[in-house]
Amino acid sequence: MNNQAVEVLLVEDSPSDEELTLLALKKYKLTNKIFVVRDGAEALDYIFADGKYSGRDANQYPRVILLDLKLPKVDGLEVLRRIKADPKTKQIPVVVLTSSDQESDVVESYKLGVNSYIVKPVDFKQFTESIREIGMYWLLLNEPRAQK
Amino acid sequence: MKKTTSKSFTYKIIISILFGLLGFALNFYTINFYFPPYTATVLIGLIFPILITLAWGWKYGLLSALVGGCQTMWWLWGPSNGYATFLVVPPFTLWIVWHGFIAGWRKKQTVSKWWLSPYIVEIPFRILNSINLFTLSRWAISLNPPSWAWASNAADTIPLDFSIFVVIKQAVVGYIILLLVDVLLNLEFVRKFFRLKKEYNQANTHFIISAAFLVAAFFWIVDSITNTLVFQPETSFLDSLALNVSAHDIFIRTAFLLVSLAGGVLAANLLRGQRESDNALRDSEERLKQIIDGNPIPIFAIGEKHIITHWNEACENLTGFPASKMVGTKKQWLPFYSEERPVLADLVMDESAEEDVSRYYSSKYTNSILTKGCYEVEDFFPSLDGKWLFITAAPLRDHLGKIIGAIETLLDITERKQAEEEIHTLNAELEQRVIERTAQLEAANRELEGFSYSVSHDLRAPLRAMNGFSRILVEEYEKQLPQEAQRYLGLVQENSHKMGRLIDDLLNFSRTGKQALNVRDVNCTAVVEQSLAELQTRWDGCEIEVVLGKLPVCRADPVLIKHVFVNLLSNAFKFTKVKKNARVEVGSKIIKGETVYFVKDNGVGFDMRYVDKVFDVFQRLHSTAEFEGTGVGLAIVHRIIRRHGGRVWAEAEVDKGAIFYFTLGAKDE
Repeated sequence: MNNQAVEVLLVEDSPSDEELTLLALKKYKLTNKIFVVRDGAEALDYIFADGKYSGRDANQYPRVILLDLKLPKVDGLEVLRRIKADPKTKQIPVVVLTSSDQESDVVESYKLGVNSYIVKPVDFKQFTESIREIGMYWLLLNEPRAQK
Repeated sequence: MKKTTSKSFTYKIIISILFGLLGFALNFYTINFYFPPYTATVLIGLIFPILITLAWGWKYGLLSALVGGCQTMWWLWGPSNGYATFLVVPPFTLWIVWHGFIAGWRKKQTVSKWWLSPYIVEIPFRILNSINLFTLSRWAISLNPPSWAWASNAADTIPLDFSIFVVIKQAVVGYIILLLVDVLLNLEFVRKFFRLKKEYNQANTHFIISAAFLVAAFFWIVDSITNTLVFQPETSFLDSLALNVSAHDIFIRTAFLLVSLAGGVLAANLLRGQRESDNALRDSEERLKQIIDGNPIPIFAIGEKHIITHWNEACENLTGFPASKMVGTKKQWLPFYSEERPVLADLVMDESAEEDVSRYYSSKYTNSILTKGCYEVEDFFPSLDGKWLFITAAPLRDHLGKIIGAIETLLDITERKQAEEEIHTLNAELEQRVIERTAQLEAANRELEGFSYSVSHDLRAPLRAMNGFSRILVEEYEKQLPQEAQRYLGLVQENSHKMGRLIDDLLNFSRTGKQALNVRDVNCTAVVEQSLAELQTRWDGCEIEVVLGKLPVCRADPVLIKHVFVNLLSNAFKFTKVKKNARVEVGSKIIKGETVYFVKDNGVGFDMRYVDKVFDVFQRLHSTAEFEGTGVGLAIVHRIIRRHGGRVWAEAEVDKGAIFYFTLGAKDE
């Protein structure tokens, strides 16, 4: 397991999207400390140091979570709800990064307390631009929360 | 008709003249009463003209008086009375006319008025005549005194007691004559003679007056016997009876006769009045019965002690119980209930408290809005072959307001009830069907939503991968890739873009059909300006003149109406940008009272043969190479306008331009 403190948790079930996201993050040299999980259940296990991630230091939280909505097992909105419902984790910035521009998803996400809602553009140029903006804001500009 | 009238006219004239002459003759035989020093002369002949006047009116009376009757007096009173005659005789003629006039008036009255009776109208006449006798007559007599001497020796001084005597005499004679005429006109044969209407109970009148006459005659005989036996034994019975009766006896006996006749007439009149009101009562009861019986609505009424007084034919038909078996009994419950209990009329008659009504009729009753103390009930009666009846009951009150009965009407509302029930069933069925249909629609909608969700998610992800990796390939391996390979990768990217747009448009299109309309007043001019501002970046650099005409405020969903203008404007720009002097105009006009909005361009236009296709989704009239686009924009416009209840249509000519029109039905949702 990666001992380095994880800066970005990427929750993404599509390997292509995962790779593109990683490429974009790397292209702008935003961070290398990325951890990828492939479904909602795994994401929850990781965040709450449960299941196969029970050995993880539960007090170490990623600086930002990039969350897809359409996920196997537990969907993204449920993951978001759980994160924002727990006082220990609700401080973690969550950016929904999804293909869906369905209004209901946007409204529901903001209701649950999402920090940003980004629709993944089809165009790679625009896509990398979006990722850059997210990284700039949440990793470089936003002061990391005081670690306990 | 006219013949009989003229016949009766002749008859009346002849009789009037004959009676006048008869009176004339009779007046020469005066009845004299001696009141020393004066003699009271009764002119009995006056009875004939007054009889005529009271029977037929003043005109015949006057005729009779002028022909004879009163005229006798000129002879009787003659020049021996001096000027007094002129002031004493004419009032008699006036008297006849006065009574005749009032009699005519009296006949026109529908309700008899006591103050028009001859005895009452005699009073004002008598007063005026008395004044005349005390003043004018006395003065006239003093100017030319009568030949006969007064009790006092001075011929030109008229003693006051003479005047008083005359006044009293005339009043008494007047009333006696009126009484006699009244008696005569009450007799059946007299009325027949004068062709007058037969009065109620004529036989009784006849009998009563005859009895009065007989009593008087009996008294006459008894008085004669008593005279012969007790007071004047020297006089024979026949002398005392008729041959040689003393003036005093005649006076007493005549007075008795008159009193007796007066009593008889009075009794007859009272009895007749009573009989008339009895008959009126019977008539009104008969009328009431006919009103109830003739009514097509079943009605029954109860009276004293809850006994049935009326049970009409409709009620017989409804219940199957004949009136003959119901009226007079207290079995009003029988047709309706299996055991004895009060019906609504009974409850109303007893002024039962509402709890009692509710005890017998549970919640099926209401208070009538028409009458206080009246109830209405809708109830089902198994005993009447399962009929529904609408029952109302109202109290009947006497003239003092005391309840003396109740009336109940029973309206058969079975058919209405059945219709109502049918409507209920149909409504319920319809509602059920609507619920089912709605559920189906909702399911279909959900399915569609799921579909578009999948499309937006799952279709985009592979595109992004194609676009992204081909881009990376080009960027990262630029040097290794031959020119041709780079061009191919470019095509991959371009097509993935296009497909991305297609997906976006398709999603937009499906969403415009689903969102609820949020209709409000929309400032169209502002919307068009916003749309132009949005489109500015896309068409920057193109020389297009935009003309914005007058646009009224419309009722629409502001978001959707903006979609309409954006789509129509971008459409117009797209097809005009290639032209020189490109011009796009937005405006509105009123056609047949309806506001029509339009977007007009002078672009490439299209062939009107294909006008049906412009609003179909994915239908394009130009190649993608010529003009970009997915063919969804106008389909979205069409759908939005249709959802507003409006219409959209187009006119175009190749190379001349196109006009798109639309209306907005004033539809609120």
